[in-house]
This record gives sequence, structure tokens and C-alpha cells, in this order.
Amino acid sequence: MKILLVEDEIEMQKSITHYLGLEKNIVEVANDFNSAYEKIQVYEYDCVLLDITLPNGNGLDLIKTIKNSRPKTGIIIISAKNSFDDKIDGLNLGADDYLPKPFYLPELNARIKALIRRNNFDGVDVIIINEMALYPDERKVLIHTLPITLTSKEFDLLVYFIANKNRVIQKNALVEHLWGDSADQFDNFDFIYNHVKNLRKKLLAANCNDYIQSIYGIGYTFKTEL
Amino acid sequence: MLNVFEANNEVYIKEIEKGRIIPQTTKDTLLYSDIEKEYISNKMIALNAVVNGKNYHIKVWKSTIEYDELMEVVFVVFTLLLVLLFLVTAYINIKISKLIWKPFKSTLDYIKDFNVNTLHYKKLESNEITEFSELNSSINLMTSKMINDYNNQKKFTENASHEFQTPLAIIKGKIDLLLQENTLNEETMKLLVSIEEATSRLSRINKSLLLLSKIENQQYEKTDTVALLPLLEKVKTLNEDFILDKKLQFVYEATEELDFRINSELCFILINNLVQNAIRHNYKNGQIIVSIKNKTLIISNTGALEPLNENTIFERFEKKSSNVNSIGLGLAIVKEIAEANSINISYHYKNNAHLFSLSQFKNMVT
Repeated sequence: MKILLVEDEIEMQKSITHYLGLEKNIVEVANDFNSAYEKIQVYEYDCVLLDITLPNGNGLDLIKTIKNSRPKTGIIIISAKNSFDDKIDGLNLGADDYLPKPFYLPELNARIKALIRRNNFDGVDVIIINEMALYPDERKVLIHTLPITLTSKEFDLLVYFIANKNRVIQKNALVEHLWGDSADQFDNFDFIYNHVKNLRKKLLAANCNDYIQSIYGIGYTFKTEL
Repeated sequence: MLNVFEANNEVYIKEIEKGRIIPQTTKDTLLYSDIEKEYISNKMIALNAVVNGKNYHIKVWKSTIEYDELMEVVFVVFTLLLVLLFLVTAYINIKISKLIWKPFKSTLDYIKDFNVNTLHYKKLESNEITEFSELNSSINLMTSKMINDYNNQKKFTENASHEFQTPLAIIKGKIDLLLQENTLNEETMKLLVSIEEATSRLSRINKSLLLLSKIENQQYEKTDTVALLPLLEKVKTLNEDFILDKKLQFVYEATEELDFRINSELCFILINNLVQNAIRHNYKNGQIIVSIKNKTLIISNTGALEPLNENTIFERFEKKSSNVNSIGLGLAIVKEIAEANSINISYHYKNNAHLFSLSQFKNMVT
């Protein structure tokens, strides 16, 4: 996948480029409004990650440019402002998603994948990993072509795991993905273990490989490279 | 007093024997008047006089009633005149002062209507009275400074949040990257996760403080009519997992529907914070009761078996538990939202339950 990262903070650039680069994505960076504008005109990207507050320009103005010249390009706003108005404005202008900083890199990765899948699938949206086939639109999972029943949370977990396969995922990142901001106030996330445990049980019962490995006290890895 | 030679006097003359002397006396006497048909008071002089060798007894009297009436009339006329004069003066005074203070009054109205959050800022105009002109120009100076400061402060809180979140985002990103290194042992990874947790907490505090200052600055202007029951249902669904985890019983006791006039985003935060509060400070198999009665929403929960301190419970960074994740701003935000929307919020401890009641003064809402 070809991704353009429009971000003026060098260390942020490095982190995101590194994480997304782990999966052979091509990540180009633009430091400011003007270079972002040029890159958008010349190249075609699957996805643009856009910071709103940029040197010499507002990121919101880039959205229109992108949508006019390359309507298939997905846009995710990554903003430190977390302002409700900016979010509404951005989405109205044609951005596909809004991720307030600070975020977990696996979260960003999952959102990029979901967005690109939505924008590019031909016919049926499907994720295939070895014996597993996930249909996000219908929230259906087939293992060895046989359907299994997952709860909504378990399905979301599985999609998130697959998007970040072979990576270490902290349990807090999972909590934030599943419960968002509303999880802020809570201290006891034991039930995340239950959700993962149930998911794992259901997968194993359908003769699926044991992909989910827990790292005690830290989180999980969805290992497909055994 | 009584002048003998004055006209209009009545005179009585009677010849008397020679040699009798009546000394001159002046006295008040009552005489019957045929005209008035009553006894009226008279002043009378009596004396004797010898005229042409004859001795006469002479009485001269005059009714004093005319004098009394005159006094009365004079008194009444004067009083009327005085009253009239007073009224006219008062009227003229009021008129003139109204005219004179008109520019002052308009300045006063301007100050009363002044809102620092206004978009269409209008300056006071100068007028022909020097003092008032001066007053207006100093008020203009003051208000424009206030608006300037306010805007700067608004920008500052937003920029501060931006500036804080970016380094936090960098720390978080680096931790995510470090965790992917294969060379790390478990201990190192745990350290990294602890660092990450502290970073998340810092970011949450930052977000909450920003929200508080935004509410204080009245940056949530748009108000909607928010129905509470559907909102509660939504909040309950969002927190379903936390409710199930503690096996809490969630009960509605609503006898009526209730609306608040409030910004919908803020209303969600208000209700969500209260419900999460009720979940968090509950014990296993506890209970949460939501009731709407007499235009009052009451969220009550079981929990600690002693009342909380009513005076400090809504204060910032007032922690009610040793919970690490709690940043002690949830109820402060609730209080701030309630106050900004003329919602009365109070805390009670009754029958081993902690009650939070909310009611809005409808008439105060614009």
C-alpha cells in the first residue's frame, strides 16, 4: 500500500513510518502544507494521513484537493486538537476517519487497513488468513469454510488482531479500540481477558490454528508466522 | 385689631343718664347673626361719649368670622400653590434628569448586555457630554481588552492541549515501536507498559482540563433539547461490559419523560460521567437505580457504606478511591456542565445508597 503521511513532527513521522513499514507499506512523508499539496498532485496514494495543524496551511484545505483529484484515496485525519468541530468539518469535507492524538500505532494501522479495504475491494469485502475468512460487512467468519458465531466484540477483536498480526498489542490498546473514550474511567479490564479467552476457545473449537498468544501482563500477539 | 372708624363696623348708640362713665373696654363676644343664623364671635369696644351735652353709650363691634375665613382661604391657596409648585418642580426634575442621564443609561444597558463571548462586538458611541464620552471610551477600551484577553486565553487552552498531546503521542508511538523489538525480555516490556499507562493518564488529565476550561469559557453555545431516557439507554449500552463485569442490577424507575435544554455533546458527558461513577464506586452484585420523578433525574448506586463529603465531592482532583486510573475530574466536569446549563445538582446519602439528583430551572434557560 502507498501511504502519504502529512505531519510536521519529525519523531511522529519516524514512529508511524517505522510501524507501517513493518508490513512492506510504502510511506512517504510531507512536512508542510506545500510539499503535501505537491505530492498529492503528482502521485496517487491509497491513503493519506493528515495532520490538520501544519506549517503554512490548514490540513482541512487539503481534503478538498485530494477528493477532487483522487476520489479513491482514503483520508484519515490525525489531530492533536481533538476538537468536535474539526472532526465534523473534516468528515463533512470528505475525510473518512478522525483519530485524535495520542493514539496507539496498532489502532492507526487497523483503521488504515479497514479504510483501504472499504475503498478498494472488488465485489465482496473479505479478509483471508490461511483457513480463516472474515466478511466485515456481514460480520461473518468462516473457518475451513464453516461459519462460527462470534459476538460483536469478539468479531472486532479478531479484525483488530488480524490487522496487527505478528505485532505485540498492549491490552490498553485493545481496550481503547473496543470501548473508546468511555473506557477512560475504569481500572479493571479483566473482562478483556474473558473476551479474548472466549474468542480463542471458539476458534480452537472450529479446528483453527492457535494464533492468539498472550504475553502475561502486557497484551497479545496474533501470530500467523509460526 | 379693631378700628373704631373702619367701615363695615356695626355700631350701637344709646343715650344714657349724664354723669355715668363707662370705661372703654375691648372684648370678645358672641352675638346672634340674622344672616348666619348662629352665634358668631365678634370683637367689641364699649365706651361712653358726651356729644352736644348728651351722654351716649356706644358699642362698636365687628364680626371676626371674616378674618377667620380669610385666613382659611389664604392657607388653602398657599398650600395648593406649594403643592403645585412641588409637583411641577419634581416633574421637571425627573424629565431633565432623564434627559441628562440618557447616555449614561444606555451605557449601563450596554454593560449589562455585554458578553465577552460575543461574535458581533459593537463599540459604544461617543456623545456630546464630555464626561459620558470619556466614560464610554474607557469602557470601550476595557471591553476590547477583555475580548482580546478572552480570545487569547481560548487560543492558549487549545494550543496548550495541542502542544501537550503531540509529545505524548510521540512517547506512545515510541513505546509501541519498542514493544515490537524481539530482543526485549518480559521485565522490560512490563516497564514499557507502565510508562505507556502513565502517558495515557497524563493525556486523559490534559483532555479533561481542556474540557473544563472550554465549559467555563462557554464554548459550547449551541443548545438542543435532549431527552434523557434514550440518552440513558445509550450510555447504559456503551457501559454494558462494565455493568456485566460487576454483575450490577440496572433499574429504571421512570414515571415521566424529562428533557434538558443543553448542548447534546455536554449532556452525553454529564450522564456518562454520572453513570460510570455509579458503576465504578459500586460493589459486585450491587445496584444502580435511575429514576425520573417531579422533573428530577436521580441516579443512585450502592457502594461505600458511609456518606461522601458533600462539600468536597465535586471539587477538582478530589479522589474518592485509590483507583489508579481515576483522575478525580469526573464529578468536577459534571458540576461544571450542570452549572453552565442552570441544572441543579445535589448529592445525598440515603438507605445505604449514594444519590445524585439533577433538575433544570426551565425559566432560566434562554
